[in-house]
Amino acid sequence: MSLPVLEQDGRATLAAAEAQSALAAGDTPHARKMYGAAARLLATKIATPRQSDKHLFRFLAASQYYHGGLYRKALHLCRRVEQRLLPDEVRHLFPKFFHDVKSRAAPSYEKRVREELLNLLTRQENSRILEKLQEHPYVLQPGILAFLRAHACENLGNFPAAAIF
Amino acid sequence: MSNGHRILEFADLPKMHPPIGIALLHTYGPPAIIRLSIDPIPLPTGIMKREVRVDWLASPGNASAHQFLRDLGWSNLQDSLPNLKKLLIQLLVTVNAQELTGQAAIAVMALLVSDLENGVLQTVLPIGSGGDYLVQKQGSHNSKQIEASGIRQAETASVSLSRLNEKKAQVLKHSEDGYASVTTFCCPGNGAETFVHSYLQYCAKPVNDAGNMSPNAEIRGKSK
Repeated sequence: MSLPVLEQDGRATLAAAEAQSALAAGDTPHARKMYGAAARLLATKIATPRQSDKHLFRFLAASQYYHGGLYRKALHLCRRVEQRLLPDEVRHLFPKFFHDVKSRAAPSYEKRVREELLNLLTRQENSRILEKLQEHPYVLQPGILAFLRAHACENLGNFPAAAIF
Repeated sequence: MSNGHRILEFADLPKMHPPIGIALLHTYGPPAIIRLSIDPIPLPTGIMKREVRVDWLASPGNASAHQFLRDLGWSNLQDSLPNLKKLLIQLLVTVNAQELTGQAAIAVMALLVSDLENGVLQTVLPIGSGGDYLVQKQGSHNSKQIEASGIRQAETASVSLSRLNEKKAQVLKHSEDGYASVTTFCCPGNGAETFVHSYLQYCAKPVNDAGNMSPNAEIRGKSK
C-alpha cells in the first residue's frame, strides 16, 4: 500500500507553512489560525472512500491542530483514528502522537507547564526556559512569551535576540 | 567570485516547485541558511553561498551514484524575505535544534530534487508531534514518497551513510520506489577541513526474473 496523493493544490501545505513561520516569529495567534486552516482543509478529505486514507487524513488534520495548540480538536480527531488502518509509513508515529495529544488536552496541562516554567525561572535555568517555550509555545500569551524569551536570551548574553523579542 | 559550480538559489524555490514553492522558501529557506552559514560552521560576513558535495543516484537507479559539487545560494532574498536577518536570530531561539536541521534538510532536498530529477514537490506536511514530515514528489503518473533527513554535525561519514540506508529502507518498506535525501551540514574532511554533504538517491525494490518486485531481495541502489 502506498500513500495517496495528499493534495493537488498544496493549500494545506501553504497554510501549515505560514503557521510554522508565524510560530517561529512568536506570533502564536496567527500560527494557531493558520494551522487550524490547514487542519480544516485536510479534514475535508476524510470523506475519501479508501479506509486507510480516511484515517491518514484524520491523523494529518489532527497533527495540524496539535501544532496550532488546538489540542482538544486534535484529540477529537485522534479518537476516531484506527491505528491499524493507517498506512504503514505513518502508523508507528501515531501512538506517541496520541499520547502527547491526550497529555496536552488535559485540563491540568497549562497549569503544569506554567509551574515548570516558574521553577526554571526561579533556578535561572535560561537555556531550559527557552527549550520549554519551544516545546509549549501556546501556554503563555504572546507578550509574556516574548518577554520571557527576551529575559532568558539577555541572561545568556544573547543580546541581539533579547532585543528582537 | 564563482568557483565554477552551478549555483542553486533558494530564491528560485517558488519557480522550481510552483504548487508550494513559496511555502518552501519562507518556511524551510531560513533554517537552511542558518545551517549553511551560521551553525554549525559560521561563514564570514557577506558570503551568500555554500559549496555542497552531492551524491546523486538518478532514477531508475541502475547506474552508479555520481558525486559532484553544487553551490547553494541565498542572495536576492530581500524582496521575498525582507526580515531575514531578524528571522535567523529568532529561529535559533524559537525552534529546537533538531527540528531546525530537519527543516533545513527539506530546503536542500527541494533544490536538489528540482535540479537533478526535475522533481516538483507537491506536499510537505508535518505529521505527528515530532519532526516528521510527509513529503511527496509529483510524478508523471503518480507521486513518489521522499524521505528527507538532516544531520547537523557528523563525527564520521558513516553516520550519514547509515542514515541514508535507514531512510531508503523506510521508503521501500511499503512503496515500490522513491527517494531518500540526507544532508549533513558538517562532515569531517582532511585534517581540520569540514564540508556539507548531501545525498539524493533513488531507490526501488528489486525486480525478479518474472518482472515482479521481489519483497525480500536487497534494495537496488543501496549505498556502500
